[in-house]
Amino acid sequence: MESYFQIRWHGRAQQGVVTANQLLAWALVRGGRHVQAFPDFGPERGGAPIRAFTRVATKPIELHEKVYEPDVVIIIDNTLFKDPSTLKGLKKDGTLVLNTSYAPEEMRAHLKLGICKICTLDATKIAAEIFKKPYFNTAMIGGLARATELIELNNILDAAKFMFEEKALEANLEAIRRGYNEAKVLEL
Amino acid sequence: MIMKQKSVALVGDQAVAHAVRQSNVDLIAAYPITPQTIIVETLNEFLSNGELSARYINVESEHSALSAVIGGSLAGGRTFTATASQGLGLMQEVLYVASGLRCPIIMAVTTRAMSAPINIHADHSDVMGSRDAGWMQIFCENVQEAYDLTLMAFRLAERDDVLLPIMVNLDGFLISHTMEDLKILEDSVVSEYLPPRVASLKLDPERPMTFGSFALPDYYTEFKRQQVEGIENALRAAPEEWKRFEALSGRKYTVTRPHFMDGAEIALVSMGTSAGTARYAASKMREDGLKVGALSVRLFRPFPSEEVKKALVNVNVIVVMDRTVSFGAYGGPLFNEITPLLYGTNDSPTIANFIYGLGGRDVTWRMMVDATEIALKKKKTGEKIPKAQFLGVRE
Repeated sequence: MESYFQIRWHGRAQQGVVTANQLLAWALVRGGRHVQAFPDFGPERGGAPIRAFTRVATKPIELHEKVYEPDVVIIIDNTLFKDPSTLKGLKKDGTLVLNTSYAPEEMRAHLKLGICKICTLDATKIAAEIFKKPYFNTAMIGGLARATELIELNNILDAAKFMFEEKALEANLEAIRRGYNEAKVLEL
Repeated sequence: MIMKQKSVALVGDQAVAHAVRQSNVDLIAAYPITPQTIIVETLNEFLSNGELSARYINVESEHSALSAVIGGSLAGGRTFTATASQGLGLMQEVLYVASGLRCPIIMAVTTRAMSAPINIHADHSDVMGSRDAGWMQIFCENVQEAYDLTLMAFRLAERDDVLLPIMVNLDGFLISHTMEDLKILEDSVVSEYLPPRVASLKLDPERPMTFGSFALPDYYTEFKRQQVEGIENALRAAPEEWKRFEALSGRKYTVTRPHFMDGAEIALVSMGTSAGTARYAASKMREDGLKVGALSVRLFRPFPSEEVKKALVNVNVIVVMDRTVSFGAYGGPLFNEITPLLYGTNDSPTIANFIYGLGGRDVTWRMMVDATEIALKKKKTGEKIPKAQFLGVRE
């Protein structure tokens, strides 16, 4: 039986977690993959921690449950690092993608994390420079493309061209490219 | 001939809206409610973009929404509405009018828990509360099915030998707000499959007739008996219509979906999104040497008794999963359909009923394994039909 590739996103409401998840889904589907991308809705209030999940496969996906053992955890808000539930179930050979100005080596020491690959990028800075708003999401997808072999940067850029309205497109393409280029990856 | 299709990623609500856009619908009236809202929003986008030419009536409640489409349906139009949870509750008295007047209305229900306490997430307590309202009920497992089964519903409902409304049930959030890949047919192909409705009987000033007349004890029973005939005809009509769709899409639909059921000793029976999780759990348990199969009940009304009985008649242990509570009853609605079918067969199997997934509580494949283990213990202790128990509850 096929095992699924699974991602868990952690962020706060209004940071674009759901949009990023759907953009990734579009990119994967355009690459011929089967996908489930869904949020974990709680009380809807600005700034509340929210999660979203992506499940990827080469065959139609049967399983309909949340993601408990992710291959990738993406934390797009750095105030969530201290919440231990964000790392729960992350596979030993998995990947952690963090929005931080620190290097992956520093984050490995800070989190005392003896497992998985770590990727860091300063999506907060990228968003501040490009959008002047806390839209960390698209830069983080660039980081994901850099840290894993799940998807090519070009697939994401193509999907973004399809998904974003013209006035938001250029800024988001730049955020994705910068996220990809500025991400630093530390293997286990 | 299998037609060319476009691969897209949509959430379930958008997929339903696309199916409606392509279906030559004449009239839509719907009142937004979570998690159905995206259907209403997307349809209104299509209307304002000129991609959909149906008439849309803005209404102040679900009661009015259904009443409006009943009018449109009686005038011979193809009609659509959508709701969930409390919205379906508010429609309750009108549901019986729609089926009694033989209106082939299609209604998407993004299944959601009933208040109180208030909850916006998936379970089947809304649609199960309406299971005797004379509507057909079809359960979708995923986004592709939400699209396909909405398209197919119009043809099935409008057949003269059926002529009844259909609820197309998609689990709230688990389908409505979950983005998945799916294939959609071209507009022209759907239009050919589903040309504008031509009603045999309708409100027509040129040819006046009465709908919804008074029926006293001397005739009421005959009306109801005919309604039974209509809904039971759907057991034959649904496979016919779904085969026609398969020829276009390449996607096969049957009233039940058996998985590993040949020679299975244990069966997991469920409806909606959990059915896929049950198949996944069955495959995992097969790896451990247990002969587990799974049965997805796609058509709940009319209930496909023969197919269900045939699939389960040689199974020793049956795990029936109900995503609702029938308060004060011995078991849930699906259990209550299945159990009498197996009376006196196969030395009477053990049938264990589990109430699960209420108000969106996640149901994992491991929980399905737990349920199976509990059922196997019941078998060992000789308990044939234990009372329904909760799965994954804190006590």
